[in-house]
Amino acid sequence: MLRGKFKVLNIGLHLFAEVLREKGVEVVELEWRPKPELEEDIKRILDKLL
Amino acid sequence: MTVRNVVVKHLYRDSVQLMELSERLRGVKGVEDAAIVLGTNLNKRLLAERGMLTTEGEGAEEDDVIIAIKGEESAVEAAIANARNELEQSPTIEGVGVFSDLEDVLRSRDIALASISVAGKYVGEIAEELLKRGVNLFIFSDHVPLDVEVRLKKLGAERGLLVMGPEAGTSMLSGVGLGFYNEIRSGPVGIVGATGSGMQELSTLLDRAGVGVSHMIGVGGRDVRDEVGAIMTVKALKLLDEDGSTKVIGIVSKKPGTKALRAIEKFVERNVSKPVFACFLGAKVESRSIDYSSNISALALKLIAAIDSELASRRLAEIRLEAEKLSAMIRRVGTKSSGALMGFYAGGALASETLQIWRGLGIKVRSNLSGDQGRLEGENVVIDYGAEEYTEGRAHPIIDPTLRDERVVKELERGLAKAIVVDAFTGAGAPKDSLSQLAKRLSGVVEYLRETLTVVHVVGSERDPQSGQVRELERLPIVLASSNAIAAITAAAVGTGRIGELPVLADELIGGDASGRAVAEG
Repeated sequence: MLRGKFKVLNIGLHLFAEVLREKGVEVVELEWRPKPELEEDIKRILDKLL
Repeated sequence: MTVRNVVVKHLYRDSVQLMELSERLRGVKGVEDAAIVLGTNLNKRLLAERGMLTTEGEGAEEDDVIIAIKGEESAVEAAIANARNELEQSPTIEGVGVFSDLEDVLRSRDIALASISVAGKYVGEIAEELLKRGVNLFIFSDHVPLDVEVRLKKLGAERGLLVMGPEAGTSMLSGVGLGFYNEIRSGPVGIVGATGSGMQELSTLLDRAGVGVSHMIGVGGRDVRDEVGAIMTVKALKLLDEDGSTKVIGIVSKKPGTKALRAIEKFVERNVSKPVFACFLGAKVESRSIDYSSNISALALKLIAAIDSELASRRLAEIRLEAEKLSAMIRRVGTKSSGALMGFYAGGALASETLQIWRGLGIKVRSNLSGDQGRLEGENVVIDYGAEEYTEGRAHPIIDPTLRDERVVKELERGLAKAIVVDAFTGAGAPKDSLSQLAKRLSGVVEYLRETLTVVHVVGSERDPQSGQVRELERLPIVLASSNAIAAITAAAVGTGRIGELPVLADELIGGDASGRAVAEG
């Protein structure tokens, strides 16, 4: 990364991805969402069973 | 006039998007005030203070969004519907290069770095996944548990990866800026910072003097705590020492823990061949291998001198001249005979620097940086509005300076201050009209500006898009200082009735700190 161009993955504030793009940096974004609570509970139960 | 709250449960939206939505709704006819905010305790308290909180809103939890609208009945209803519509739309970002699956996005994409700015409690899981896949990290998020930070940094160190942050406000690698940053020319100074605003201050001071920066590596404010042990500060030093374009290294940080400081000193002594200069705000330090300065302006001067001593002499002369002009002007205009000194900051390191300078000059100051509780009103005070208690569920004050600015206006109206010091930011991450916004707020209380000395330091480069807006600040009866240290020294000189000595003080604290010994602990 200290040696030149590199690709960035932006996760979170869309503002930061926009800023990077404006500067000509290659950016991809992950539209991340926290897992819905229900899913976590089920996952935990499944983990215990399996 | 009606106030209504609607709570949208378990809705994840970033604080900046919510802020922008609030702004749009405020512009709607018939709407007097609008706030779309996460249901954190801080936000609920702020809504209540504005008379915007109802029982519905009161019941919101941290993961919920409160739509709070005040205005004419019909307009309020329409605004709420509008807000719900916008919020419930998904996805929130569109276009090429947007993914919803981590596997997907990493597949054969050769991603070197991930920039993470989700809510703190979610950082751990994402970050760990990415480190395991060999991706370096820039973590802007705060409110990340300390043990998570330690775990991530240890994992990163094991794999030879850089973990910048959590709470990293700024980084710049090979000219690519992350988080907040300014247009800085490329050059021979490498910077490591356990502070975002500290690096922004340092880099812009260097740039203004014509000295460029190779890379700025932000390691996050807590890296220098003993629990973290300066893991990433040391890694950054190694990278800069090995980097061909870096000739000298500057470290800027808040007060480090004793073990962390020792780890840094030992590493530099044994492994770093390039000259290292540092400013550890609030720490008394001595070391054979590192040259210490007690404030960021002094550090900048030392770094400049290491590159070009002629340039450093000229810069010091400029500082003296500025101090003389300020001193003359303030004596001519006059100040109140009594009153408190107040500093209200968006940048934590700058707040820390001011606190240290004031205490070093024998001024008793209270600050949230020292863990002082309460509203801290009517006395000498320094507040860092980027501290966790002011940012819960809100955007960072560089992005949204509302809370800080409102306090400044309130204190000007209250008239208990003799001098107020404030920082203002331009560059990436700061609003496109950051200086105009501040100028507008201050001009709303212009009559009070004539009574209370208001000193503003703009952290920025001439090439930042907002830089032209400084003209709007210049039109106001305020003082503009070219560095935060100068702003702090000016206020202190006024506060202690030593305004005539301002040039001498500036010279001593910025120019004359040759031995590098720090001033009294802050």
